[in-house]
Amino acid sequence: MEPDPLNTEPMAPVPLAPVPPAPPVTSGPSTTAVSAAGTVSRLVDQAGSVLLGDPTPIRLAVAAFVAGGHVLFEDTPGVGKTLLAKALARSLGGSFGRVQGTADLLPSDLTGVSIYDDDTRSWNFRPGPLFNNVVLVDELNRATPRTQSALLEAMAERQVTVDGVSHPLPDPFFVVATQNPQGDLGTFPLVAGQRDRFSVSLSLGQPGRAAELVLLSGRGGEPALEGIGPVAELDVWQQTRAGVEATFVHETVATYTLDLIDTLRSRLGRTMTLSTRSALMLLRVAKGYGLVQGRTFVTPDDVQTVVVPALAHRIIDATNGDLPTARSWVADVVSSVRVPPAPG
Amino acid sequence: MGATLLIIGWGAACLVLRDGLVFGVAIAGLVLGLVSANVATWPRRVSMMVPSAIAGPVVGAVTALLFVGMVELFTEDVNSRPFGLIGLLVGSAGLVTDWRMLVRVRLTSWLSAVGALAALFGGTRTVPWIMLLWLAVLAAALRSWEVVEDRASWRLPSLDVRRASDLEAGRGRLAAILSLVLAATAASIIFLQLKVELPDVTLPASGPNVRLPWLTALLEALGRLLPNLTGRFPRISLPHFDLPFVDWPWLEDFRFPTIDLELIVKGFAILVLLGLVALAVVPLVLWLTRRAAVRRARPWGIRFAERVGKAGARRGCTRARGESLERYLDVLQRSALPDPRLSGVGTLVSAVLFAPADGVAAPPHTMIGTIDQTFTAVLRDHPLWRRWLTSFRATVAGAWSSLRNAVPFPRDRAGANGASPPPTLPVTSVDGGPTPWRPPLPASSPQRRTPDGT
Repeated sequence: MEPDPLNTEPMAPVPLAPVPPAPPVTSGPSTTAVSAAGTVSRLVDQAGSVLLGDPTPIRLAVAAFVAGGHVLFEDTPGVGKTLLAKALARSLGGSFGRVQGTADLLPSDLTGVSIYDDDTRSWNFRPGPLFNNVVLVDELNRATPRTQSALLEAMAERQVTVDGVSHPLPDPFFVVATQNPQGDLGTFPLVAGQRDRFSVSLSLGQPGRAAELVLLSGRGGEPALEGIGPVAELDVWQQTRAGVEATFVHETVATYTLDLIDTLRSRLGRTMTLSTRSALMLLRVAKGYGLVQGRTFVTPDDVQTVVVPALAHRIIDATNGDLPTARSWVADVVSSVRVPPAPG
Repeated sequence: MGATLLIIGWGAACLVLRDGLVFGVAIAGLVLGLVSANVATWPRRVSMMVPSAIAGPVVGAVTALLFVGMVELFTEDVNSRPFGLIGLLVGSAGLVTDWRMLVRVRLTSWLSAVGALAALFGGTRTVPWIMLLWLAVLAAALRSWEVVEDRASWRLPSLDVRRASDLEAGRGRLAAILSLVLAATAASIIFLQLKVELPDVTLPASGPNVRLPWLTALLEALGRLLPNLTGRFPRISLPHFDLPFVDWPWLEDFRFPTIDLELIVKGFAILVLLGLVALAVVPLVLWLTRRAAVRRARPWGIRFAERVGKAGARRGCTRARGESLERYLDVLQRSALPDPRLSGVGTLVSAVLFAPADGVAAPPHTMIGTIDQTFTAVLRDHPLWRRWLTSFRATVAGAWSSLRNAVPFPRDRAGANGASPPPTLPVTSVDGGPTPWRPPLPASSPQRRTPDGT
């Protein structure tokens, strides 16, 4: 019987998988994207069989994954954030690590520590839960800013530096973090740099009456989680990410993306601004969303769909930390920006 | 008061639209309209000599040039010529109506408002309609234009206020008209000789209430300055009007041909009429021709987007500013054009517009043909009259429902029989609480998913 990767303890030693080189793209870009679209579609369907309700958050989370980003969930407890993270982890395959955010969580609890071995008289590095393909950081904002900052290098550079030695993280590396609504007792707000590392911030919301009825009848949810397995091997996901790179972006769509960014920047004024990384990540997630939709190209609708999840959490300081307000503000701006006509 | 209200209205509209250009253009149009409406009556003498119908298009053209220059100068937008055309229309129409001696300022302001509001809400698309409006105004003004032979002058029956009240004034106006034409084409000396040859044209004596042509006044002043000039000025014998060069030897045998005055007046009237019509029609035709050529040269995507937008707007569902074409087609499918084929059209449109050339299953021209044919079929299957009929039915049903609610029918009087009416519950959300933001879903996506796919 194979060990259940979801039962991995936070500090359990995880064998470091060798990081395979990115596969060469032998076929044309469109061919790569087409094959990736089918794999992604199966991933969305499988995760959707566990988390019932609106499939859009699942699509967005998968889009962020295939875009090489990370996902931040902010919602009230009990709506399925952890369930979705587990479903994604099982569907993606690979190893899974979980960390519960607490006030006394230390950076070494995430990255790992070097332990002195009496037998060999040497220091051996014992990797932390970050050395997994999928890492769930539950209630991230309960950890102190110092511990939160331990994620910065891992999420951005996909490596961890301990005692002056850099350890590469497995590929794919995907962080799914949850946080409680800002202002809850015992939470530390995420700093701007930390928020910027997340590609999208999502809220699941209530699943709805029909979906809850199905859940009450015993289908979906935790029971369904036990019945799903990996959709594809790890190297397939690496090819899928290459498919995102091959997704075609028309000049009109790129212009529209920049129009949105510029309009948001002008509305934000001088107090804060959107980074170039924001624009890049917005377009990458839009590419991923196009792939999720089964397309090998990006449309303005893809950009509109991902712009709020991709940007709202980055401008949250402008709304005094209120994410719903930031989301509605970004949505208003999006509705005011004209979609440029495409010549065809 | 009217102008103040217009300014306030334009200002409010610009605040709502967050666009100050329209306000600036509209205010400039109002000012220029007012100025052009008053140019013909100031100075007074010019107004009396030159019919406003002639001066109107001229000043309107100047207004148009000012408009175009101003807008292009401040906005650096070379596509603002329709605003200039509106200025032309406003100026011309203002002066033509001034010709009627009506409440010209108010009417000019009204026309300015029409032009500005059309530019504000309709953009350049309404320019042809404004031009047609101006043509209608012009046609109404010219409808009763005729030449009165006994006075050798023009008479506009609907414009009695401006009609010459006596023969002298009528002749003075005739002289002024001739001076306007001939001075522009020949020289003042020809006009002098011509006027002398006319038996019934006499220069009126000076006086406070006499309307003098400007050239007469000029010559009178010249005569006062040079009282000792003498010469031959047959049949009028006003020595101080004689000019020295009439004694020149090479002019002794010069005779002007006999000219049929009535023919000149009639011909001139026809020319003016044709000129006015041409002044309105030629720019309109040129503008429409150029616009049609430009529109034909646009890429297919833009033309199709405009076609869809027009079809939706005619059915009461305009395209929102931040709405993509595919999403707009989806909205149309769920509202004004309930046809399932539209979702397929939207998908194909996105593929044609945004997919790489080698990333689509079929050549773009094939898909474009399919899209055009399908959309044409959808429009054919959902004609406008059907929507109007549906709207009419809904209106009637709403009115009937309101009537029923207002008038207590006997069977609805539940309380009269002692039975209480059925309780009504407030409609609340099942989920409760604020709904988080979700991006709109495509029509094909299930809103609620279950493992069974139901």
